[in-house]
Amino acid sequence: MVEVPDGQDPHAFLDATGCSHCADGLNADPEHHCGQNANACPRDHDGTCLGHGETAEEAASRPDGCTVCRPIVFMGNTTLVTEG
Amino acid sequence: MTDQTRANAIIQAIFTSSTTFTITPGTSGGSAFTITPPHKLRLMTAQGTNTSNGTEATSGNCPGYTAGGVSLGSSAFGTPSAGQQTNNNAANWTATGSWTTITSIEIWDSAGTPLRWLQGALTSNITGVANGDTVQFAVGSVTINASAW
Repeated sequence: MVEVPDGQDPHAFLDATGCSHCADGLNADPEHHCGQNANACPRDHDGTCLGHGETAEEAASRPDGCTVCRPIVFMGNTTLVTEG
Repeated sequence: MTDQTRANAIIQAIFTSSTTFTITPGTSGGSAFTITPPHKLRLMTAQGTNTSNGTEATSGNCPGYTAGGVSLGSSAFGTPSAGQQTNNNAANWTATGSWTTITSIEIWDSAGTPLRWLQGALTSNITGVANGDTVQFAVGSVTINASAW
């Protein structure tokens, strides 16, 4: 368990320790954030790790300003049908 | 219905050509018009219709986006097959702030007064983009479907 000092952003703090957060896409669970727990987040995510999500819909479930697991690549997709 | 071979030839000329060309109809064939590559992909916050433009994203509501869109390259789309072709090159933006939801795209050319050629909704809206994120249309992610033309 990594202790995050009071008043510090846990994400920034853990970055400084070399934690890659969930950049590898495997450890989105809060228990795997170097042992850190989402409860420590000063933005108060109700104690739940939001996860980064693999789709735009999942990513949209995060609150504004959440920086967990950023950056994200949003993939656009469409079919443009020509109509006679 | 249009013969599929003719439809393929027409959409290939319009969306795959890397050089500007003009179609000049004969007598009573209407006005000449020019296709001016490269085609550009524009992001829309509100979809238009086949007769009116959508509402394009701006650098204000989608920081990192520039009005006018980005180039899809000198040959924007590949050779048609069965009336369909897909984009040959990726389009990318890096957000420098939070974005308004993107609902649709439009394909425009690069004429002095650009012409809009295609419009349509995204398969899924792009929403929740924040500073540092990337918005990408990968190679093959935009399909032109003229199979029922």
